[in-house]
Amino acid sequence: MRDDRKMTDMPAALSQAIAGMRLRFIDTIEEKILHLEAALADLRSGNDPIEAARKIEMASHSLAGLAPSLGFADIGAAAVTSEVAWSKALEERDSDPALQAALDAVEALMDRLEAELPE
Amino acid sequence: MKILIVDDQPLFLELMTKYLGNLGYFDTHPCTSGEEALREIRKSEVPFDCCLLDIRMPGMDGITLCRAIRAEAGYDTTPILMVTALSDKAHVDQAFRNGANDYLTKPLDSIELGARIRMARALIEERQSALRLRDQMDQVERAENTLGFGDQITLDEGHNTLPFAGFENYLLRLGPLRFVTQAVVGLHVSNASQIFLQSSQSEFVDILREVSCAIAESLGDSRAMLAYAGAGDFCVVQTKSGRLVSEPEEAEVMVNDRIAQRLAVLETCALPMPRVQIGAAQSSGVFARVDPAEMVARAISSARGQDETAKAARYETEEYRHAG
Repeated sequence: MRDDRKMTDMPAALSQAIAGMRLRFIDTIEEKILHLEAALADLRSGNDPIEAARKIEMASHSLAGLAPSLGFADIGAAAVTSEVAWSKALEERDSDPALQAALDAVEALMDRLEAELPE
Repeated sequence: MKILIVDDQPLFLELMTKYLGNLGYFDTHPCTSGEEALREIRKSEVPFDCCLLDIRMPGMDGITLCRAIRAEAGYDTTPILMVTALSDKAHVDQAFRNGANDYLTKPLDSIELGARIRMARALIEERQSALRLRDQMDQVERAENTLGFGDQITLDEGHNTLPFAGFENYLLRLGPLRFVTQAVVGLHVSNASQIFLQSSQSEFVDILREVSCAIAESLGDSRAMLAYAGAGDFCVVQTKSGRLVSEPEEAEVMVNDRIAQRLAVLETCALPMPRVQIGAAQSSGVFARVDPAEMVARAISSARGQDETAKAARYETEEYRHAG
């Protein structure tokens, strides 16, 4: 769900520019999902799982800052949850519950991203 | 105002540039990495007035970049604002300790960005004032009417010292949970006006610098922050278990002992030895949050012991100006 409240307070030119940036963000969503899925596949295959976890954490971090700045509050919230969960999983590397929570969080993030894809 | 913006996400850079343009700042220079930002700084003939840095970036992170910018000639006091999705205290502290002046969290908010940029402008004005002071220290005899008794001089000795404008801002940016664990303590040099009137500008600044070092050495807390508020007043923020908060009498003795050691030379030049008095710690509760500026004012007032004469002197700085 997009948060359009702030757009109403902006000058028209700025609102228009941000609307354009939102569309460009949406254009990148599929690529972001593929990036997350590739990292998850690496993680599950045991192909440098630490690096794969770091990639997911970094991707979540990037989305946590950018998405809500463009009005995608739900993606931002899911990204923050995912970033925190992966950070914890990386700290507690022997903890299965931490890894499971991180996997759940990134799945939820991907669901939120998919929800914004054009039908 | 020439602004450098560094973030690894081009779309975020574009958004920041648009917001800044909307606020009237059009001279913006986006960079997508720390390395590119350093190259931009080094090739720029006119230095940047302000830098906005993302913290987490591939390659050189924003905190390393901040430290590198501070090491560049002419960038020792340039306002540096960290912009990041991370709002945890460890990163705030790390950023401040590596030279950042302020902290802005994502998601980006135009109103907050505007407020922070205005704060940066205030720091630039303070920097210009400090540069004037530095020139005067080089040319003490020719200096005229610049250093006032109430001037908030930036005593840039060590990583724990902040400009006064940055100090209040540091408190504001601590975040509510950290804020309640900290206390602000005022320290007042009770004979500061006498020292000011009897010393040259450079001597006065040197004495304040030594007092600042003596205070820093006595804190017993490497995470405490210190600033000079003008008129012989210093402010320290440290945890409630810190020495100034929990043992103010002992701390006062220690500070004055260290000052006496550091400034033993004053006896030979017939200048008074600074005498520091420490006020009661000021802090905020979880449910009754006190405005940081008010805490600082109370801390200073407490250190001054409600001395109305001295208090008046603080606000009548025009009467205490060096004529060079």
